[in-house]
Parts: sequence; structure tokens; C-alpha cells
Amino acid sequence: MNPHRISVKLYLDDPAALDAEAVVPPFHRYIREDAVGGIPIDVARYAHVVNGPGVLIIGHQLDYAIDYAEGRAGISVTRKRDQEGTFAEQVRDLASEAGRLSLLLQGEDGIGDAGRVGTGAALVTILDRYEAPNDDETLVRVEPALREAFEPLSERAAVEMSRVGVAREPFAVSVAIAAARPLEHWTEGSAALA
Amino acid sequence: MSTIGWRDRLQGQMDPELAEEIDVFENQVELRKDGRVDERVFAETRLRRGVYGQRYDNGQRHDGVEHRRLEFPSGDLTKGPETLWDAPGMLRIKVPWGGLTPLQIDVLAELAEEYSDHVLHVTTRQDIQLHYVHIEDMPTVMRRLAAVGMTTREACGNGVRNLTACPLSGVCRTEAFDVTPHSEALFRFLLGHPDCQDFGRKFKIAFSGCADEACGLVMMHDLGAIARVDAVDGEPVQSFDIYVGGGLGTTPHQAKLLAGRVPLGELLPTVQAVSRVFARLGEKQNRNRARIKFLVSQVGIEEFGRLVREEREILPYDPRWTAHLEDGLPPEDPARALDTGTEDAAADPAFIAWRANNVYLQRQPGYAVVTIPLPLGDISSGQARLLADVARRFVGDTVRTTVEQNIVFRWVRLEDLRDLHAALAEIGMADPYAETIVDVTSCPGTDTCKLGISASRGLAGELRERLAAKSGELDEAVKGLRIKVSGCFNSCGQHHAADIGFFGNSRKSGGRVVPHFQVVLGGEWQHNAGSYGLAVGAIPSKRIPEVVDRITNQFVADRLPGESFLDWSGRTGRKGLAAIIEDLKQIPEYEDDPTLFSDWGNPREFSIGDIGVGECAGEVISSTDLELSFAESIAFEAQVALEDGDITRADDRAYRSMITAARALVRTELPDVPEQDDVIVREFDARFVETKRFQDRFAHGKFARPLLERHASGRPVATEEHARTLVEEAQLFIDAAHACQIRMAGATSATQ
Repeated sequence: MNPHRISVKLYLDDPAALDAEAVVPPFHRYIREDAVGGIPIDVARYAHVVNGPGVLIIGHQLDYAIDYAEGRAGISVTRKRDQEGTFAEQVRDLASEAGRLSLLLQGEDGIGDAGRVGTGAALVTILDRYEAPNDDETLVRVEPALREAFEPLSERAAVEMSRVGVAREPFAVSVAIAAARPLEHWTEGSAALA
Repeated sequence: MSTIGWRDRLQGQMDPELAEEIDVFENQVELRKDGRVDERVFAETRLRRGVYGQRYDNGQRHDGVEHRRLEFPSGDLTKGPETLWDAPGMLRIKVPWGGLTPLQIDVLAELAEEYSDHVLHVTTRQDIQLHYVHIEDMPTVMRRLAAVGMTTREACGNGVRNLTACPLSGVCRTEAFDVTPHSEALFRFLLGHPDCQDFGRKFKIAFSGCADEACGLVMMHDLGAIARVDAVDGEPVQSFDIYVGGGLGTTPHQAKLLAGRVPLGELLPTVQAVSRVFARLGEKQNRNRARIKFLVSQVGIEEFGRLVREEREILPYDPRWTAHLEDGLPPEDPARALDTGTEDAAADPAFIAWRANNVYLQRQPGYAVVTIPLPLGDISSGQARLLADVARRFVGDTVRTTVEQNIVFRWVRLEDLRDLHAALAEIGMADPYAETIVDVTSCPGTDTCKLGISASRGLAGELRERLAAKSGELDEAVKGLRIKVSGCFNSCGQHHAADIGFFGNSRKSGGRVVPHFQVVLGGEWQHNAGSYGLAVGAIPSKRIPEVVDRITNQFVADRLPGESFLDWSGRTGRKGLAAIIEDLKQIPEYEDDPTLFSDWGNPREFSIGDIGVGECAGEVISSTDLELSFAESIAFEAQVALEDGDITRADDRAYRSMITAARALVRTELPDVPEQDDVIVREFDARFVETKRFQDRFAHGKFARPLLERHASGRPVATEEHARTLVEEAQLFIDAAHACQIRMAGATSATQ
């Protein structure tokens, strides 16, 4: 499978603690300092839209976001172009990048722990209704690759998956990771995208 | 894969003409990638399909410290002058008269997710824009739109833009009659019309149901039609007053009455005649003087009217002029029949506030129009999908966008208002601020526009937040004011017609540049934007909230009983208004207040270095250039078909490409040449072959022969070898047409 766009989202531990606007200055700095992968272009602010995409670093290949879609705040990274590697590798890389952005934000004055994400759950979304309609058949097709991506992030290789949403929504899988390894482990190798 | 997949899947679901247009555009994309189409021609080609550039698309961005080059993978490949191929762009989607269906909203949401940034942006001209879209994704997006009856055709560039109309048309209590069917008919008539392909600038049209309300803002449009009804022999007779030459920008003009009481059947031919006069006499070289307002101003409305009447007399008859009067768009029916037809008494304060500002009672008893405010005109893909469901439940296909960047539901049963409010609240779309001072309008500004100087959206968002927080304390006279913000003088935020308007500019101080907004007060929204505001001074961007506070406070303190803001600002005068904010103009040293040296929502130190070359005006490319470019696309399809072993299609495409090129040349002398191959070939033969103008210096008449012979035979070639020959000859024919055009242009300039 080589879908048009893939996104991985990790959820903030304490969504209420993070003011989306607070990430705007560091996001601009990350662009200036090449701290994120691909070719970052600009920061887009949509915090005024309820349950929207939040605040994003828009890039040529990747978008990084403090993301409020589905009414749950998290850090998402979306691969848009120039895909490399297998589907499983792409998903793993995106999870790594989301974790890395969390660590970067945790290091910011005024953000700190508010930027922390949990490692027990992730949302993988395939933004390609042609290649990946939101149905059980797609889940069957992608499940092995998602296991390959997420099982190494669990101490016991224990991962559970369930499809999210309805047919007209993009295909999405909620991934529950038991005994998840710490975030630092997730981000090993994320330089592949940088 | 999904590009090809979508094309195949959607075959048969698209209007054939639009489908072919998109195929041609896709070919142009491929040809441009191969360097086989000139970048200027490609730029105008994409603009005429709504594909617009975006900020930083020249590959340069100021990161707050220095300018950085964006090293895109496609390197220096461009999609227009100074516009890099890989730089994300904007796609503008036309929404004629603002009409949307829930199915269309669903598809728009899908496209925002798969190709854009999960946001749909409603513009001040009722369009919808997607931002950050890659050029190579555009054809697929267009196909998916076409499959639900939407188009991006001529949404940008030097053509007829989206046609706007009052969102209350058909349900308004004060309108003369419903302008919707006439808007739709004119939109369809002008889309791709040959008479609208040679404008020197864009052309915006609006419809209004009456003269007194704001409605379609006719007075600030290139052309506008206001509905009227007069008693003739005791019978009501519907007609339009047609206005031309309005516009905003640096030199705002109020439109002038071109023709009063134009019969309904004369609307389309009159607009067609205006288009012809504009195409023939409008400025082509200096884009700053190329809007129709300058032509009308130059020749005078009397003379312009005479030219239009003269043109109208010689127009070849077109049955579409009146077809819609017989079988045009039918009147809307409510999705839900009335049950009780009455509202229950309400005690919920949130509902009461929403009911007071967001609900307009229709002239049809028992029904209302509900406005759903979109902050900064934005709605997320997820919200859009949920909103489509709410529409299905309550109003069906009667959704419209508005020029105030909101969405309205029409035909809401009064008995459903509370349930609708609850449903909207559940998806975060029940803000009670519709068309109040909180509901600030803004163009994209520096967020995405290449021409933006100041952060109009940043300012609008800030004002919205502050005003919402104190909306309960605002004086009633202030609540109803309108604030509109443009990122530059081009006025896309329509600040001239607002009570309180702003447009972005900048000032230098101590070697640094400070973002500013020019303050414009006292524009008239009513009477179709009946008068424009007074510019009273430029103020640093970060002090604009203070400007709003001072102006509104002064208005409340000074106003006479019942006096409007318009009248108060007129009475106070430019000098008096400027005095209220004079001290705010002072710029401190950077060290004393560095916050003034950055803009709203953007911590980078302000720079005007990111401003690019605007594409708003488009490239002035002749329609002959464009048609020859289309011919090349069709020839390219012929080559692809040949490679696929499809001889029949290769023959058809090769022949069609020559017909297209021949027609382009014929149209330089016979603009109304009909779309009939026999006529095109006959005219081409008579005008270009027999006169030897198509002859090459060395090959003589050789290049014209394949078209003439293939046409005369009347049947496709039978073998692959013949098909291959015809495909090659078609390319040579197009090259010869280009050469002929160049020779003709040389002859023309030599005689001038």
C-alpha cells in the first residue's frame, strides 16, 4: 500500500494545560533552525476552529500539528509527499516524529509538561479514500503493517487495533499499546525524516 | 495511482465539457513539467482554472532573521513567473450565488483532508478556497469537484469570477423578486464563453434583490444587476437595473447605471455586449488600469452605454438568452413541511442570544434563515461533515455561503429552531454573533496571500476574541457595526464598505519596518455598498484594538438620538476622526516596545520581503495563445493514445488538435465562428490557406494539408502507420499555427 497521505497522532496527556497559541513562536523557530523534517514552509494557525487542525507547521513533505480533530488534542505528523520505505516504516517514522515534536515542546519555556504525549495510544489515519476506504477490508490489509510499526514500541509486543469512524470519513485506526516503551525509545531513528 | 483511479472512477459522473477541460489541464501540467509549455502561458492556464499561487511560492521566506531559500525537490521548475513548481498553492472553487448542497460539503471536506490542510475557507465573494495544495494534485481535486457539479473554472485570472448574489434571494422580505435563477443562468452562460476570454483583467458580477439593503453589494462590482418590479398597465413587470464600473482597490469606484428596467430576456445579451466592449476596448498592457471601472471612467457612462447598445444590435442570436425563463432553476422547496409553524417560548440564554442575532424571518410564514458564523471564514473538514448532516436533517439542499464569510441555512422551520441550535452547539457552530461587530471579516492577508502586507487574519482573530469577550457590555449601537480587514490596499476584505475598515500597510522606523493598518471609517454596507469610508490614518498593527475601542466609545458618546455610524462619521469628518487616534501613530524605539515590530499571530520580526508578485491580475495572454496551448494538449493526448495502441483515439485527438488550432486562428478575424468543423475548416482555408498566410517559407502549404485532407475524407485513418503520421503532422500543424500567429502579430505591430 502506498497511500497519498498518512498521519499519526499521539494524544496530549493534559490537553487543557496547553494553549495552542503558545506553540506558534517555537514552531517558527523550528522552521528557522531546521528542527523538523522535510522542507518546512510556514506556520498555519487554526486554533479558532473548534475541533480543527489547530496550529501546524506546513511543509512540503510533512505537516506537524497541535491537532484538535475529533475533539481530542494531540500531536500529529502527516506525510504528504515523497514517501520512502514500506508502509510500516512510514507509520513508524511518523510516530517517531510526533514523539520527537513532543520532546521538543517539553523543552520549551512556558510549555514544559503541557507538551507531553502518552505512549499508550495512537491514531493512524490514511488520507486516501481511493486506496484506503474506511472499511474492514482496509483494516485487514493494513493490520500486519501497523503491528510491524507499533509492536516494537511495546515491551510485550502487545498492540490492539480498532477501526474508527464511518465510511465517508478517512480510514483511521486507533492503536492501543500495552506496556509502551518510553517516548525516547520511539524517537530513535526519527532522524530519518530530518 | 489514485490520480488515475479517480479519473476512471469518476468517468460519466462529470459534465463532459468540464471533464475534457480537466483532461486538457492535466496534460498541460505534464507538458509544463517537460518544459513544453511556456511558463507564462501555463500560469494563465492554471489561473483560469482557479489554481492560484501562494505566499513564498517564489521559494524565498523571511524566517524572522534572514531570507531563506526553500529547496524544493523540483528545483527551478516553475508553474509561472517566479512561482516554483513544488510550492503549495491555493485552489479557488466557485460557488455561484453561494449555493451548496450537503453532498458538495461532504466532498469539499474530503478534499480538504486529502489535499489541503483540513480547512475550508469561505471567501468574501462566496467562493471556497483550499490552501497548500500541490499543483500535481489539482486535476484530481477538480475531477472530484466536477463529479458533484462544482467547478474552479475561471475562478482566478482575467475572466468572469464567481457570480455572487444575496443569500436571502427568494426568501427575503424586501426583495423585488428572486434573483437566483437569473444568477444561475448568467453564470452558466458566461462560463467559458468566447466573448469573455480576452479581458485585460478580472470581471466580477453581483446580483441584488433590492436597492436598499446590502444584498449583493452591486455598487462595488464590475457589473451588477438589481431586481425591480414596476407596474405596467396595472400589471407587475420584473426587470433589472444594470450597473457597471464599480470596484474597490486603491481607486474605489461606485458603479454607474448602465441601463434601467432591462427586461429579463435582455439580461444575458446585455452582459454579453458589455463583455465584448470590455474585451475590445479595455486596457491590456497596464494591469493597474485594466479593470472595467477605468474604461467606464475614461469614455464616460453615456458613451459606454452607446457602445454597449451598438454591440447588442449586432450580437448573433443565442437561444440561451431566454431559455432559463422557461426552464431555469426552479424555486426552492422547503425540505420539511410546517407542522405547528410556531416557536416554543425559550428560556435558555444561549438560545435567546443566538435567536436574536442569527435568525432572519423569511417572507414565507413559519420559516427562517439561520446564519452560522465561521470564525475568519474557516470551517474544519470534520465540522463541515457534521454540518452537512445537520443540513440534511433540517434544510436539505438550501445551504448558501455569504460574502461575510458565513454559511446560511434557509427554510428552517421556526418550530425547529431550538433543535437546530442544539445541533449546531453540539458541533461548536452556534456562536451568537452573526453580522455583529464580533463577526469580523478578513481576507487571507499575510497568512497565505502573496500580496499581503499585514496580518489581516491575525488582527481579525484578535478583534473577534476581544469583542466576543465583552459583547455583553457593548452598547446596542455598537453591536450592529461591521468591521472588515484587508491585508493590503487591494481590498479583498471589502474594508471600504465597512463601518470600521482596515487595510494593511507599513511604515519605517529606526531602520526597521513596522506593520500598520490604515483606518477607514464610515463605509456604507447598505444600499449595495452605497458609499465608501474615509481613510483617517495609519496606525501600528498592534494598536488597532485600541483604535476600535476609542472609535466606538467616541461614537457612543457623541451620537445623536438614532444617528447611525455612517452619519456620525460623516458629521465628525476626517479631521475629527483622525484626532481621536492621532497619538497612536507614534512609534516608540524598538528597544522600548519590540512588540510593535511584529504582527498579530506571527512572532517573526516584521518584514515586507515576503511580498511576491501578484497573480490576482493574471498574465495577459491572448485567447489565441491559450487556444493554441489547448491544441497542444490535445495533440499530447493523441501521442499518448498512439503509445497505448488506441488508433481510433489517436486519430480523433490529432484531428481535434488541428481543428482547435485552426479555430484559434480563425477567431482572430471571426470571433463568432461557430463550433462546427465544416465552418472552421472552410474559414481557415479561405482566410489562411488560400491567402498563403499559413504557408511556411520553405515548406509552403504542406502543413495545412493534413487538416484539409483529413477533414475532406470524413473518416478516421485505418492503420497505425497512418495514425502515427497524422499525429506527427498535427504537431507540425500547431507549430505552423504558432508561426502564423507570430507573423500576424508582426504585421499588426508594423502597421501601428
